[in-house]
Amino acid sequence: MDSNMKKTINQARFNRRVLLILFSVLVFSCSDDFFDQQAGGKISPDQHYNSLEDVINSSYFGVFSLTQQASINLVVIDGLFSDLMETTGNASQDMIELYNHDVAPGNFFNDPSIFYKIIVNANEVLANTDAVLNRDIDYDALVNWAVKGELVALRSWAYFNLARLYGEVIYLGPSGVSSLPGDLPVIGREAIIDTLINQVEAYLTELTFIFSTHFINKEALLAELYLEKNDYSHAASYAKLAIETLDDFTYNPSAGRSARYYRVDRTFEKAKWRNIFVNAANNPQTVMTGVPFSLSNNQINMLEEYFKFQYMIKPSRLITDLFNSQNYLKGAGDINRGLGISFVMIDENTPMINKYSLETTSYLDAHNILYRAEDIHMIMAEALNRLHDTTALIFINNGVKNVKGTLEGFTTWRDNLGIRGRVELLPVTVPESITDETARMEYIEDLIIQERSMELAFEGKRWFDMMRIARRRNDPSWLASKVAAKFSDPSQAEAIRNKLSTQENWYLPMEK
Amino acid sequence: MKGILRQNFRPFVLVVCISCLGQFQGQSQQITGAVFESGTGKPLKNAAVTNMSTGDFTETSDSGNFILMVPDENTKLSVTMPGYDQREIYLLGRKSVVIHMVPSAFNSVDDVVIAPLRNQPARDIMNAYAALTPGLESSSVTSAGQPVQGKIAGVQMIDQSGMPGQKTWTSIRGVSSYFAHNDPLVCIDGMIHLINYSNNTVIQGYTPNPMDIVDIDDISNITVIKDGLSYLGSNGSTGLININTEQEGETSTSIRVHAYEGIAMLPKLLPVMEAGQFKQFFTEQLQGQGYTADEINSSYPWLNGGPGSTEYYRYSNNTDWQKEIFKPAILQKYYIFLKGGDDIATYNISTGFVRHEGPFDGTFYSRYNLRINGRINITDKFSVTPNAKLSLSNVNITELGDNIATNPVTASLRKSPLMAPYAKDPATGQDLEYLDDVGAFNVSNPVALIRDGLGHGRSANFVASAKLLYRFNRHFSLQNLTGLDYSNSRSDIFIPDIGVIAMDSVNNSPRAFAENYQSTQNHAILSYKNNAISLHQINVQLGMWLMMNKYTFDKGIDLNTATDEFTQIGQGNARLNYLREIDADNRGLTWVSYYGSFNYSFADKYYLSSVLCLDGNSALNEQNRYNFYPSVNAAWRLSSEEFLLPVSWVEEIKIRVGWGKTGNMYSSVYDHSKYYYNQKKFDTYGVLVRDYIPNENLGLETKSTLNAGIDLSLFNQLFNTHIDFFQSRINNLIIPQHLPAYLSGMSYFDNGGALKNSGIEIASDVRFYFDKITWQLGGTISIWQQEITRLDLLVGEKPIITSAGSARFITSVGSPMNAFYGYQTSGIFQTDAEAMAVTGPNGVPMKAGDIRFVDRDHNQIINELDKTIIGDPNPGLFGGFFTTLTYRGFDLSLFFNYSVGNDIYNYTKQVSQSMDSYANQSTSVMDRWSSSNTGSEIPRNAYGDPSGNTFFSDRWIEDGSYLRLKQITLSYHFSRISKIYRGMTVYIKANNLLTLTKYSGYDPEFFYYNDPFYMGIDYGKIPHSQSFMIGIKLDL
Repeated sequence: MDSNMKKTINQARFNRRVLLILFSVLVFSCSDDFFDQQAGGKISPDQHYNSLEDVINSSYFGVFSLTQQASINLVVIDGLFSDLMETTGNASQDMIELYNHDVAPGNFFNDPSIFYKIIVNANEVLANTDAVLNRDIDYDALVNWAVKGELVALRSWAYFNLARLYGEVIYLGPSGVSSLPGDLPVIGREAIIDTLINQVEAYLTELTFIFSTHFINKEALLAELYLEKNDYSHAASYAKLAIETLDDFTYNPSAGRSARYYRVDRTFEKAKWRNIFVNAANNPQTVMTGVPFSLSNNQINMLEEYFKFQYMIKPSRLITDLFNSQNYLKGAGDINRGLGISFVMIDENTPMINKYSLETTSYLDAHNILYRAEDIHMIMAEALNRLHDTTALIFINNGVKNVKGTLEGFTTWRDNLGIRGRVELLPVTVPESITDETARMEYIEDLIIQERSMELAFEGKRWFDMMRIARRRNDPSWLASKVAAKFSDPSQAEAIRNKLSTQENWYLPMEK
Repeated sequence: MKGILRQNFRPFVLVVCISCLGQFQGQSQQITGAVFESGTGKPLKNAAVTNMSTGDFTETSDSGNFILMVPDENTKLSVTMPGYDQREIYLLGRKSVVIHMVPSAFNSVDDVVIAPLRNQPARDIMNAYAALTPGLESSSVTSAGQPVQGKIAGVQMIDQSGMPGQKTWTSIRGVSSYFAHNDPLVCIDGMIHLINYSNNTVIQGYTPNPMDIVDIDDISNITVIKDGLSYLGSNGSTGLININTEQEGETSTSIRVHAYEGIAMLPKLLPVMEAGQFKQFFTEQLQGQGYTADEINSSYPWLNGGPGSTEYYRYSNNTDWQKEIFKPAILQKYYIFLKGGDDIATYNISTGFVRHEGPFDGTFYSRYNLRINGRINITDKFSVTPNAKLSLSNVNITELGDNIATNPVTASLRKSPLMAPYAKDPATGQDLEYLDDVGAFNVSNPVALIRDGLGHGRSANFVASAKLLYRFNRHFSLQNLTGLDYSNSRSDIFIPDIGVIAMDSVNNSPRAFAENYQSTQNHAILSYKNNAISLHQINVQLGMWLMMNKYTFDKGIDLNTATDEFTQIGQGNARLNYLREIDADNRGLTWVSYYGSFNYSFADKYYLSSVLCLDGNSALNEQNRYNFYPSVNAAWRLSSEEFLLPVSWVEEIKIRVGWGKTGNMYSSVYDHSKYYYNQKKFDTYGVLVRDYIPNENLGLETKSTLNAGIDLSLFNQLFNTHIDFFQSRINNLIIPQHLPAYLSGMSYFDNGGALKNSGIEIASDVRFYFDKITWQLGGTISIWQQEITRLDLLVGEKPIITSAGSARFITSVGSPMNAFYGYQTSGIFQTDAEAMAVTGPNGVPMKAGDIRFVDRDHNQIINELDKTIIGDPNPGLFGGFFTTLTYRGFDLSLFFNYSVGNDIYNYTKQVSQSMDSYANQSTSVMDRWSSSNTGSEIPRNAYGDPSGNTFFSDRWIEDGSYLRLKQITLSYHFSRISKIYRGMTVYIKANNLLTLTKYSGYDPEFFYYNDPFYMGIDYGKIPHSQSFMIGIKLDL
C-alpha cells in the first residue's frame, strides 16, 4: 500500500467523519425553542402576566369588557319582563318571547354564558396575578390584593345577576375552566348570596382601585346583596359606605379639594339631569359603574338600535303615564327626567325610549350604567325604611341639604339634594290616613320603588326591584298585577297574572 | 384483438426455439435470450444486456438474440436500449429469456417512480401510486396540477372556475377532515411546497394558485402516492403529489421552444327574460303589491309611456346583459428550454410566458416562469444539484362570490333588460360616455362591475434548493437537501359606487390584502442498500426532515371614499369606522420527522417494507407534540413465481396490501390545545379575553389507511391495470362541541368524531397495433364513499350544522360530512284552503301557488324540525378516460372526464327564479304558477317572498353529474432532422368541446372556496368555455 493510497483512504475517512458529524448535528440539533411558534393573534399565559400593565390594562379590563353584552341583555330582559317596556311590530321573536314571559332556551337574550364568561375570565386572571409579584416591582402585595378584590367584585356581580335571573347558579368555584369542567354544584339563590357576601367582604380594604368608572363598587354590591336577603341594617350601612367611597384620584386636601362622595348634588340638578347619560364615563360624581361602547371600534350599543333606529321596543304606557302625572314645582309632569329625556313622543301615539340617545354627537355608543349614586341612595332609603328609620323619605324627596338642623350620621352630606328635589319634583308624602306602622312602611316602600322606576327607568333595575319586594312581602300577586297591567288585552293580562303568581315562573329557563 | 394475437405469435415460437437451445448448453451457465419491442414485436438490435453481478455485458444481434455467461441461475440481468425503459429481471432458474421492451413514452412496470425517499421501478412499489408525464394533451392548462384531473384514480381535481389563474381544488381519496386542511402535500423536486396556506383574500371567490411556481412544460413527471406515507408523519394524511421538473442536462446543447395561440369562445348563456317579457313580469309584481295603474304610471312613467315620458330612454332598452359582459378570450404561451453541459456540470433551464384572457373584458391571467436546474459532479462520489424556480403572476379578476351586488355573473342574470350599460341622453336617447347607475330595479350594472370593479392579484413565488449527495461506497450514501420556499402575494379590489348597489350603507369599498409565506427545509437521508448479488434485496433509509414555516397576512377593507376616483385603503370615511375591517395573522409552524424506512425483497417475488416515524410539530401543545407513525406494506409478485414464469402473456401480477398511519397538522384548531388569549377592543384600547376552553388533550388527527391492490400487466404490457381498495379511518376527528348553556359562549374542540372513507380505484390502459396505427385507450374509475361513524357529543344529540350563505350543511352519524341540509318540497299548493292550514318557514300561513314543503313531523308547521339531508356535494364516482390514435407522425387524442352523483346547490337558479324582487329572472318563471296555470313547478310571483318559497330546499339542489370532452388534440410530428431543427410538432386542439349534463347552471365543474364547508355551491362561477388553439413544439 503506497502512501498516496493511504492518503486517499484517510481523506475519505475524514470526509466520512465530517459528514457523519454534520448529519448527527442536523438530527439532534432541535432545541425546545424550535416548537415555540406564534399561533395567529394569540398569546399564551407565559407571554402575559409580566407587569402591572398586563394585569390591569389588559386583563382586568378584558374581564370588564364582557359586561358590554351582559348590560344590554339585562336592560332588555328587565324592561320586557317588568312593566316598563312593550314590544312594537318590529320586535324580534326573542323579544316577543320575553314580553310574553314565554322564553325558549335558544332565546338570544337568555344567554347565561355571557355572565359565566365574566366568571371564567375573572377566575383566570385571579389565578395568575400572584405570579406578577415577582416580575414587576411596582406590583406589590397591596396592589395585588386590591386588584383581586375588584375581580372578585366583578365575578360576584355576575353570579348575583345569574341568581336573580335564573333562581340558581352553577358554581364554578375558583376554576378558570382551563379544561372542560365535570359535574359542578348547583347552588340556590339564598346560598349563593351568602357565599358572595363572604367573598366580597373578604376583600374590603381601605385601598380602593378606581378604574375610572369601570369597576364594581364593592360596598354598593354588598348593599344590594344584603337587601336581597332582607338584612336591612347591613344593606343600609353598606349603601351609605358606598356613597361615601373615597376617590383617591381627586382627593387632594392640599389643593383644597375635599374627598368626593357620590352625593346627589347640584352637578346634575334640574335640566342638567340628562347629562348623567351624556359621556357617562366622565361623570364619576354620580356614575359608579359605567360600561362604555365605541362605535368606531366595533362596539355597538345595540340598545339604541332596539329602541330608536329599529324601534323594536317602546316604553310602556304605565311608565310614560307615571312620568307625566308627576307634580313639577311649576306644573305637571317630570320635565327634567320624563318626556323629552327618558322618552320622547315621535307622534301622539308613538313613544320611544330616548335614554340611550341623549348623547347627540354620536350614536350607537351610549354608555350603559350598572350602578349610579341615585340607585344606591334609594337602596339605602329602602333599607332604612324597613328599619323604621323615618329619615328614609328625605333621600327620596329634598335631601339632607333641606333638613333643618343636622341629620345624625349625615353631617357631611350637606350637598345632598335628594332624588326628587334635584329635579324639582314636589315631595311625596304618606297620607295622614295611613296610621298602621306596617302599612305606612309599605306605603313608603311603594313610593321608593316607584321613584326608582322613574329615576332608573330602562336601566335594568325594575324587574329585580319587583321580585325583591314581592318576595319580601310574600305576595307574588304584587308583581303579577303590576306586570299584567301593561297588557291591553284582558285575556292576555289575566294569563300573565296567573303565570307570574307562581314564583317559579319568574325565572328564565336554563339548560344545564 | 387481432393485433395482439399477431404480435404474440412470433415470440412464442422463439421461446420454444431458445428453450431447446438451452437444453444443449447443459451445466455451462450460459443463457440465451431475445429482445423485442412490446406491441410491434419487432426484434431490437444492439440492446445492451448486462449481468448485474459481474458487469459482463453483450449486445443483441440483428434478430434481437443474445448469449451471455452467468455465474448462476439467480443472476439478475439488465437490458437497456435508448428510447425504451430499462428492464431488470432475475433469471430465477431460466436458461433463456424473452424480453419485451416498452417504449419510454408508454407506462411500464420498469418506469422509475420518483418519490421523496427514493426512486424505484414501478414493479417494486408496494404502495397505491400513479405516475404520469404530462403530454401534449395537457399543454394548454395553466396550473401544474390540472393534468392529473381524471387521469389518476382517487384524485379529485376541480378548477375553481373557467377563469384561469385560480387554485385547483385537489383532494386525494376524499375529504378527510372537518377542520384541518384537505389539500394534499405537494413536493416539488424534493421540496415540500404547501398549497394549503393561502385561504384568505379580499376578492370573493378568488384564491391565488400556489402551483404557479411550476409551469406544465417544466414537469418531467408527476407521481401521486396515496398510502405508505408514514415517513411524512403529520404531513402525510392527505396524500402526496410529487412533481419533478426536468433535471437532466445533456452534453450537447439543445434548445426547445413551445408556443401556442388560441381563442376561448363565449360560454353557453342562460335563458333570461328579454325586455317585453320582463315588462309584463314587472307589471304583475307591482300589481301584486296592490299598486293601481295610476300609481304605477306616476312612479314608473316610462313603463307604459312613450318617448316623451320621464327617463324613457334610460328604461326602454332591450339589453342582453350576458352578452354585454362575456367576450371571447385570447390564449397564448411562449416557452423556451435550454439544456447542456459537460461531464462535470450540466444544466437544464427554461423560461417563458403564458397569458390567458378571462371571459370578461380586462380580465386575464399572465405568468412568467424561470427555472434553473443543474448538477455538478464535484468528485466521483460527491455531487451537488442546485435547483431554482421563480414565477411572477398577475391576474385581473372580478368578484365571483355569493354577493349578488358584486358578482357580475349573477348581476347579468338579474339586471333588467330595460336598462343599458351606459347612461342615455334624456332628450335624444344617445349613449353617453359614463356608466349608468343602479337605477329602478336595484341590481348592479354588470358592465360597471367588470369595468370599474376589477380586482388585481399579483404573486411572486421563489423556490430554491441544493441537494448534496455523497456516496461512501456502493452500499452507503448520504443525501442532504436544503431549500427555501417563498411566496408573496397581494390582491386588491375596488368596488365602485356608480353602478353597484349599496349594502349596509357601503357605497364604495377599497380592499387590499397581502400575504407572505416562507418555508425553510432540510431533508437528510442516510441510505443503505445491499446492492444484491443475491436474491435478497435490502434497502434502508434513515432520515430526518425539518421544516420551518412562517405565514403572515394583512388585510384591509375600507369604505366610502369621496368618489370612485379614490380607490386605495385609508381613503375611506372614518365615520363608518365600525364597518371598516383590519385583520392580520402571523403564524409559525415547525415540523420535524425522524424516520426509518426498511425494505426487503426476495427475488422480485416477496416484498416487505416498514416505515417507523417519530414526528414532532409546533401545532400542538407539548404533551401531544410528538407522534409515532408506523406503516407496513407487503406485496407478492405472482408473476415471478415458477408456475407463472412460463406463461408468456403474463408480465405482471402483483398483490399488495398495506396499513399505515399518518397525521394532519395543518389547522389553526390546534391552537385550542394551548392556553391562549385573544385580543379584543374595549372602548378605545385593547384588552385580553379568553373566549374558549382550552383542551390540553387535543390530539393530532390521525388517519389509518388499509389498502389492498392488484397490479396487472398482460400481453407484454399492452394491457395494464391497477385496482386498489382502501379504507381509511380517522378515529379522532376534531369536532366542535356544543357546551352546556352556561358555557355556550365559549368554544371547545375535542377529538370526539370518527370518519370512514372507503373506495375503489381502477386505472387501466390498453394498446392495440394495427399495421401502422397504434391505438391507445385508457381510463380511471374512482368510487368513493364517506361516512361519519361517530360523534361523541358532550351535550344533547344535535348534529353539527354549518351554514354558508343560505345553504346549510349537516354532519351526522351515518351520513357523509357536510351534506346539504334543508327542506324537501313536493309541488305547489293548488288551493288557499290546503295552503292556509300550513305555517310556512317564514312563520306565516302559506297561500295557493306557494311551495309545498314536506312537513316531516306532520304538525302543519314548517320549521327547523322539517329539514333533512337533501343532497351530497361529493361525487360517488368520478374519473376520466382517453383514447389516442397514432399513425405515422399523426397523433389524435381525446380526453374525457366525468363525475357522477355530486349534488350542486344552484344559487344562480335560486336568484333567477326567486321572483322576490324587481330583478330579471330566468325565462322559466314565465311558466310560473297562477290560478290559470296550475300545472307549473314554479311558485306564484310574490314580491318580497312573504311565504319563504326561496328558502334553502331541494328546489335548488341539482344533480351535477357530467361527462365532458375536455380536450381533443391533433398533432403532427416532423421527425426528420434537418439542419435547422431536430424535431418539430405542430398541433391543433379544442378544449371543452362537449359537455353532457343535466345541470341547468353554467357549468357543473367548479368549486367555490378551498374549504369543504363550501362544497358544491355554485354562486355563479365563470364557466369553462370552448377554446381552440394551435401550437408548435420545436427542438433545435
